[in-house]
Amino acid sequence: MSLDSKLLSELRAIVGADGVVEGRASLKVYECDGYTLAKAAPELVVLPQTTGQASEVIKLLAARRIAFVPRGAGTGVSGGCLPGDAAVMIGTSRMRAIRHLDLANRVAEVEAGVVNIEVTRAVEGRGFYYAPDPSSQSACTIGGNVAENSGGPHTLKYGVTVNHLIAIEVVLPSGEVVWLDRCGDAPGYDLVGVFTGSEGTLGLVTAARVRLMRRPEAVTTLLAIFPGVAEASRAVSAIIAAGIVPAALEMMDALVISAVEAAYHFGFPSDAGAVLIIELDGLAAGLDGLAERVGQACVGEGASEIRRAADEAERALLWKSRKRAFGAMGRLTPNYCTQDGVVPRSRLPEIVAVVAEVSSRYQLRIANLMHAGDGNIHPLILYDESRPGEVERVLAAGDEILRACLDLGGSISGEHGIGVEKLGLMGAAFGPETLAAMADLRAAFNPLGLCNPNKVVPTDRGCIEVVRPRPRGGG
Amino acid sequence: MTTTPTRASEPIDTTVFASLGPGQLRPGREVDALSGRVPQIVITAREVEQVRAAVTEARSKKLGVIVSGGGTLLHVGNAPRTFDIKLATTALGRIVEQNPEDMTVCCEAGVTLARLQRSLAKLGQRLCIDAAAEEKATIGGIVATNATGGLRYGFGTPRDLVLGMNVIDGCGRTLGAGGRVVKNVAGYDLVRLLTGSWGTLAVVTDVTLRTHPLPAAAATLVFDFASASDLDAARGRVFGANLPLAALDLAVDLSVDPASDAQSSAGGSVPIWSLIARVEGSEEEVAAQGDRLCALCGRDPADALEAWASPAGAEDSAGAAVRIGTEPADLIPALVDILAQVRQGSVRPGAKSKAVSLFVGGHLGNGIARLQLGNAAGGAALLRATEVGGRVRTRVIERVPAGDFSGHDVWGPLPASFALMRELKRRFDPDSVLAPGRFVGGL
Repeated sequence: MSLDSKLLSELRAIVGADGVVEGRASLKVYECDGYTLAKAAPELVVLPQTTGQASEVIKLLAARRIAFVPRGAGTGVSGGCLPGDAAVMIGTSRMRAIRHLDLANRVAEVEAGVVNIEVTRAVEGRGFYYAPDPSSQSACTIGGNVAENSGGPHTLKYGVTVNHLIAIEVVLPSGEVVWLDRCGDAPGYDLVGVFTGSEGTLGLVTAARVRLMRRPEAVTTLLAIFPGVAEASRAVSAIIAAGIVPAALEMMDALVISAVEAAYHFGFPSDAGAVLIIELDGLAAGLDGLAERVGQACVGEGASEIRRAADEAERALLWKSRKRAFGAMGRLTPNYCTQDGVVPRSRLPEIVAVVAEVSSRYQLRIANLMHAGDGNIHPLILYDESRPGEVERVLAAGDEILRACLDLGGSISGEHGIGVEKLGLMGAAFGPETLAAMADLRAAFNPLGLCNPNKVVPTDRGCIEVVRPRPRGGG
Repeated sequence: MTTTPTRASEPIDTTVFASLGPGQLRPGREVDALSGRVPQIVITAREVEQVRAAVTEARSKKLGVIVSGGGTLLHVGNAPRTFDIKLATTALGRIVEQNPEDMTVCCEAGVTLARLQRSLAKLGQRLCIDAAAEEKATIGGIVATNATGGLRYGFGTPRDLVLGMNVIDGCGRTLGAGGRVVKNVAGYDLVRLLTGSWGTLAVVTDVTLRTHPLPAAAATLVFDFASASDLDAARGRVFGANLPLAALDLAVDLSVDPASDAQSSAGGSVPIWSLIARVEGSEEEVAAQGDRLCALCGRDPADALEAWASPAGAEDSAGAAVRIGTEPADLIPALVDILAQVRQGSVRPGAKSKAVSLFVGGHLGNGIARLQLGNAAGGAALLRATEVGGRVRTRVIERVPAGDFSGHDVWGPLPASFALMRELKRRFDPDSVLAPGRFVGGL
């Protein structure tokens, strides 16, 4: 579709000349999110500064039946903001106001473009924080977090984005602005819950009222070192079976450890087959006893060593190593692809075995990073795109791992979303009637299909042709 | 006021339900009536396929179906537009799968909360849902109504704890929403759409829920205050502290006796405002939280009362009951206003005023309170005083005298997003078969 000059001038009238991005060079940065290097730039990008502007822009596009795709910070990893059939991208990067802090009710009202970590920074001086902490939290924005229902290492105890939302302000695909609000057990359907994680297909999030939490009185972080992934997986089950719910329970295997050690020099033992990072928080009373029990559970499953972060600096470095593990992978490989499967936590040893088998059969190195406590695996498939046929093998191996997750009673995505990446697996994950119901849900919000078309649920058009882009990683 | 026009339905040909076994089909009776409407038949489903058959038949004949679990909240809702089939899910009673290592459980809709808790307890686990009437309330009903108790403060509502469910929607489709894992963003979140949809979109047949380990130790501490403002100050300190409480509740028993009030407060009863905190964890954690709570509430630990169950006022079908929602910090001031209005409203100059018995229970940390009258007196005043506006953000009428909700605004003003809700209803239940007219705005 070609956008005419009249539309351009109308858009400029709404958002100002600097709020419309066009031209090949300027659009390059909007070609992909963390998933893709595909050459799929939108025809133009519109950057509203207010909800009113966003509404005007979308009304204008709706009147002309022009499809659009919302975009936050572009840190998504499933191609959710790949333009596809949408000519226009609407970015929220200029909507960065923290509108209101209401600490008496532990609420912050922030605009969509506010970076996740900025919410915590705004309130940490008074002992509060915003709990969802995706690895990209220093770049990803609240609007994107709502769209993707983002998780992070601490979801095990504190839940994902949807568990921390009170209300969201959205612009529907018609351009209408509406607050979806669950304050005070608002009667009616849980539209906050429905919209969260809808990957930008039901409308544009412009602001959110998020729940703030009090920093726990005490935190302690353990590093348990194992000979291999199998032992570490069993230790996860042992911890859960002991009735302990850590704040975070993360696993890294030898390949990941070697990459992060090279990058951040934490001091991981070079011969470790796997490590668990286990964070416990809560009251100071009892925390030492809990750490002791966790340590015993790990030793019982074969841990060779349990270290406890000596101070806040060591703890911070440990988390930096974990959260930036994706970035460190570049030291091992020219390219990698991240998967995001989930299995019931007791099936972790089995999925780990499947990953190892797939790795050897496809002759691809696969590094294992996981939110082990949630059963959420992130196998990183390492490859070199310059080798002929390797990308295809990577995609086939990834699909096979996700299908194995389904076979074990799991899911094809724990936190990265379907986007375009996993659209082809939705039919394996859900029956036709459930998929039809999901299409109905989308149509209730997005009847003309103008908002982020051809994502999440396969459309009536059947198997849509998305050129499978070259995968990268993140999350 | 919501008026609910009735829809005439044709008589049901029960031969289509020939597959139902003995005791699964009977004519409706007075006892099944909702707002005075008696269903033509009552079906007790034992198999999912029977649920589907009932919904499909209802759809083809444009009949109204109301699903019933334990019946603890069945009376709540607008008068139904049509009520032809009462569909009981109580015989869907299997606990399908308990996975303590995964901290999940799957059971059919008719399993009662108490039964599930007993079964989980044997494995050292529990469901962190403490909805009322646990011996009667079913998991299906709890999920359909998003029913909660005090543990919502520490663990969230069923919307946060349901991982997946199988349902039959109003089109007769079998939907598998969510899954069996604790983290799942595949596709749209049908689980959240359906949880708390009060049986208007689909019939829940089984549910997978997140479980938690049973705490090693627990205690419920009660702090009594002589005034609402003292309680509110303590609430602010407790709410603002970094204590991982399992529950932060409220109870106040207020008997408004206009006669004694008119004389002097010394003669009248002085209400006691109670802050109720549930602490859980290891012995050490429970003791430490108890000490901190005592300090925050200005009490000597030796004087803190300990209770093992939240107090509940007497339920009386003659009295009205409402549930209100506010911002957490607004709850006590809102209640003070409401009580003043009820007091004023129940004094009728020149007439003999009756004593009003009012019990308030609530979730201080969540801004939720339930106000219930112990007898018929004061109903009109309570309904007037709790109308949505100002600090009162939401109000649901849960009980009216004689149980007839006709002419009552059960759910309060339409939410801003009502048009979307209507669209969802239209697509999941196009012929308005399920609980027709009973929910918000007559959905």
